[in-house]
Amino acid sequence: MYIVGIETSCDDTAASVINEKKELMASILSSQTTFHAKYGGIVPEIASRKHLELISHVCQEALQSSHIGWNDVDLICVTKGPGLVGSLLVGVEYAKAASLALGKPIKGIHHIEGHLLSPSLTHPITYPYMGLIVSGGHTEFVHVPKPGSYQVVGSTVDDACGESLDKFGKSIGISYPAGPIVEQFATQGEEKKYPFPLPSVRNRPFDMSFSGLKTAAMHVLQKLSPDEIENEKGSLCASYQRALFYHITATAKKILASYPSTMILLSGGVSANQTLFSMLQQSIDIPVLKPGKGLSTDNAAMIAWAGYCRYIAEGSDSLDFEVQSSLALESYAAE
Amino acid sequence: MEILLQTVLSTIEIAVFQDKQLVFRKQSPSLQKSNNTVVYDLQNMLQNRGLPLSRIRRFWFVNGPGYYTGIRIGLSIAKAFSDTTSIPIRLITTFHWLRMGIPPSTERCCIFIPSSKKEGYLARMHHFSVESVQCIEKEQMEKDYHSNVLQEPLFVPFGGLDVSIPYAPVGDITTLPLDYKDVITSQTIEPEYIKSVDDLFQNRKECG
Repeated sequence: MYIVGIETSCDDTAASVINEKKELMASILSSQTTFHAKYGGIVPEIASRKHLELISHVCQEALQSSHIGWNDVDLICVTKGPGLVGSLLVGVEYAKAASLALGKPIKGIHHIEGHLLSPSLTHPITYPYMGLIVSGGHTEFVHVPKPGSYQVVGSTVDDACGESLDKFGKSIGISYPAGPIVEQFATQGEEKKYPFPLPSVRNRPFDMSFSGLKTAAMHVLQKLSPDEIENEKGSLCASYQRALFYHITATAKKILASYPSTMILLSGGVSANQTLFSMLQQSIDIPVLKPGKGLSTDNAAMIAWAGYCRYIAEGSDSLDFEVQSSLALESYAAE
Repeated sequence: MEILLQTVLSTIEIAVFQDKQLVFRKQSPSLQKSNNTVVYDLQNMLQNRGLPLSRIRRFWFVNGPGYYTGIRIGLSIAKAFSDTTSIPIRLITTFHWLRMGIPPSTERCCIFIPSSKKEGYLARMHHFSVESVQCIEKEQMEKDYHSNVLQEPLFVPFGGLDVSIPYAPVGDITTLPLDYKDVITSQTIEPEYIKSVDDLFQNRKECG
C-alpha cells in the first residue's frame, strides 16, 4: 500500500511516500526559508504563492523517487490544520482534487498529530506516552493514553521555544532561522556566564513562558557594546539556550509526576537540538525518543503515517472537510 | 462534455458544456466555507449527473484576475487534475469568461472585476481581445459610474472613465467558444501561468 503525504501548513512545501510497513520511500521538502529570511520571519502571502508554485514539482519528485506513479497511490493524506490558511488551502485543494481524479481515499490530518507520531516511524512506542513538541510555532506537552487520543496538558502562554530562539538570534545578529546557529555558537561558550532567570507561569505549573527570557536577554545586551556582543556570542547563546531548555525540562518533570508515561516522544524542529535532547535524557528517568533524520522539522512523512493510522481506524474522509487555521487537538481527536 | 470551474469571483461556479452549449451551471456564494467545498461540489455534480471522469473531454479553469484566495484554490485544483489525469486542462482569464456573457455582436466593452475591498481590474475589450487592463480603485469607479454596487463584475459599453455612462451586470454565459484563440492552451500547467498570476499581484501592489 502506497501512502502519499502532503504538508503545506507553514512555509515548507513537502510531499512523501511511505508504505504500510512504515518504510519511508521518499520525503521531499522544498524550503522557502531564503524567501522569508530577508523579512526576518514568515510572510503568509509569499508562503501561499510559493506553495502553489512548488506543489506539483514536489509531489512529482516524491513519486518519481519512489518509482511509482499517481495511479499506484492507495491513500492521500494532507495537513488540514492548524497553520496559515492560505498555505493550508493549497495543499488541501490539491489533495482533494487528486483524490477525486484518482478515485482514492483521502485523510485530513492535524499537523501536531503528525509530529506526535513522527518518532514512531523509526522507533517502537508504548502507551501511555508524553508527546513534547518544540518548534518555531509550538511548545506543548500532549499526553497520549492510547492511539488517537490526545490531551494537551501544558503549553507556552506566549512565544514558542523556536520563536524565542529566532528573536534572540536576531538581536545578536544571527539570521532566521536562528536555532541551529545558536546551537553551534553555544558549543563555544559558557552556559552559566549569563544567569537568565527561570520563568514560571503563576498558578499554571504545567504551562511555560518564554517572552520574559527574551526581555531579560535584551537587558543583558543593552549593557554590552557591539564588539562585546560579538565576542560573547558563544556564552550568550549557551546561557540563553540553557535557560530555555531548563524551563522545558523542569516543566516536563512536574507534568510527568501527574501524568505517568512510559516514554517521552520529542518532536518539532527544535527536537534536532542535541542539548535539549541530552538535558531531557539526563533529568528524566524514562526513555526519550526523537524522530529519525529529516523527520524533526515539518515534513510530509509524518502526515502520511498519521493519515494511514487514522485511515485504518476510521476509513476515508469526505471531500467536504475544511482547512482550519486554529484546530484544537482534543476536538480534532474527538471528531 | 467539458467542465469549467470558476472560483475567483464573489460567486463561484461549476459549469458543464456539451457540444459547446451550457447544460448545467451551479453558482454559490464565495464564502470561505463554500470555496473549500468546490471539489466536493464537483464530485456531487458528477455523481448526480452520472458522469464518470472518463467522459470529461476537457477541464476549464478561470485563473484570474479576482479574489486571491479563489485564484489559489482554482489553480491548486487545476494543477492536481493536470498531474493526475490525462484530461486536457485549459486556463481562461476572468475577462474572457465574463465576455462570453455579453452578446458576441458587441464590438467594444469594458469589464470591471473586483479583486479586493478597495480595488479591481478594468479591461477594455475589442470583441474577445483584451486591449488594456488597468488596476483601479472602487471609489473611482463608483464616482465615475454613480454606482455603489461594485461587489460584482460589471460590463459597461466602451467609454472613457471620465464619462458617466450606464452599466449592466454581466449576462448569462451560454456558450463556450472552444476555438477562442486568446485562451491559454496547454495540457500541462507550467510555472509560466503562476508567473502571470504573480504579475497580477505585482500590478495590484503598484496600484495600491
